[in-house]
Amino acid sequence: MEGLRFLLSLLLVMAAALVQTSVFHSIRPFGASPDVVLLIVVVGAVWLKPEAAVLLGFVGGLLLDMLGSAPLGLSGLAFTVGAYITVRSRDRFDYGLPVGVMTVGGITLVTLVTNALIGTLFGEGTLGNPDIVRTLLLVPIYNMVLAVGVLPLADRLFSWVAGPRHGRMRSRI
Amino acid sequence: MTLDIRASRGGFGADLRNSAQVVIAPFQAAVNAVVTPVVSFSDGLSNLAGLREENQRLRDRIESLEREAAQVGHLEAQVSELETLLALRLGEDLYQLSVAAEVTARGGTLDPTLTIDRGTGDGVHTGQPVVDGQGALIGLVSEAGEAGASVIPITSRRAPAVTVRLPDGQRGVVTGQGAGALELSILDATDPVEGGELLVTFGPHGDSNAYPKDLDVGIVAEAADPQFGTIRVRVEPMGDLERLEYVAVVPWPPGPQLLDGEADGGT
Repeated sequence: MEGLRFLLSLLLVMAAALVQTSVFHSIRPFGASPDVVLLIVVVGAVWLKPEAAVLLGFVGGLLLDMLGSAPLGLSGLAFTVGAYITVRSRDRFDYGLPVGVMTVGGITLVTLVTNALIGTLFGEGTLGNPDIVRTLLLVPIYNMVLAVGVLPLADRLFSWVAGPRHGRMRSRI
Repeated sequence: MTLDIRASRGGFGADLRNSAQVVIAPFQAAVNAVVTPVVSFSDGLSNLAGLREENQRLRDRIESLEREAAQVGHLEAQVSELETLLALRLGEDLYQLSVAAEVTARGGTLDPTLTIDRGTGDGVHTGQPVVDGQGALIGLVSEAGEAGASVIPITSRRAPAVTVRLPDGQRGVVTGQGAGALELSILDATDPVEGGELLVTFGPHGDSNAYPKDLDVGIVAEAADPQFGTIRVRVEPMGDLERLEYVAVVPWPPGPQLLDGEADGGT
């Protein structure tokens, strides 16, 4: 079961990376786009065991790093943190869709701030970007909008492929 | 956890990155082939209402310009002269050798990197300048694979500084501030700079020949006076990175003959 879930998460993350770098290269309302890879990492981390969840986060971030020119491992480290926070707060996703969506927004924000902080430490100067505040505000909002559709879909997909999470149905989402 | 910090050129990290980009490039191209027409169509629909007003405004403008053109007899000669100057900006040989490329992808949320569909197989190499359709400097190739390359915009803090020339001949350095912003620094400033002044690449000088001369870089955003001999002022980049679809990679530095010719031409 866990292997199936991880495999499914991995495939979704790869598809998300493709969408992130190609589709959202041309669709950037107000100069920012959703972080689809991070969204899928969060969704996957809700369903995976902690070790697999953080591994998924690292792989997702590393994939994004490889498709750009950022130092390898920068997003990997940040997304690992994002996955870890998701694991620690996954119970919030049981309180219904609105809480789940807000949790996605919060985790996205924290992960992006982490990414910007680490980037700045490694000389990327990310926090000094004039548009950093706009990015940090818009991306979590976009991810929350997408999460409204993605969370229930993922719920059904993961349940269908590998059974209910932790032996119970997450019927509220 | 961090695998290969600063592996921007060469090494295992670069190989890994190139391999990933080679693998995903066909998928990105396929997705773009489907998505781009849809996005263009929806853009067209959303702009439909505004287009009528824009159309009328442009018609009025054309009428006004036609009147002006009729009144000013030498305007045509001036336009012809300007066109000649524009064509001379970049050596003809460089234009002919430039590699046209499509922007196929963008990096992550905080990564401004652009990916183009031309690589070493097409003559694209690391360090070459990249310009947009108007000839404005966009960035430079940070990594080149066989069939694709990464372009780091000049607005990125990771991009190398660009030595520029002001209209009055002063030399300055433009550095990326991230997220579409540039800053001009003049360390031995004698004269103030005015808002709206066009900055162009200085070209080869001293040991530096990172860019050919006279590529548009940006426009000074506001006037600034020297403070203790130094000027620092914001610059608006000429290229629009948000809507970039096609670019050209300039084969620079060129061979020794071209470089000599460029240097003789006024640097």
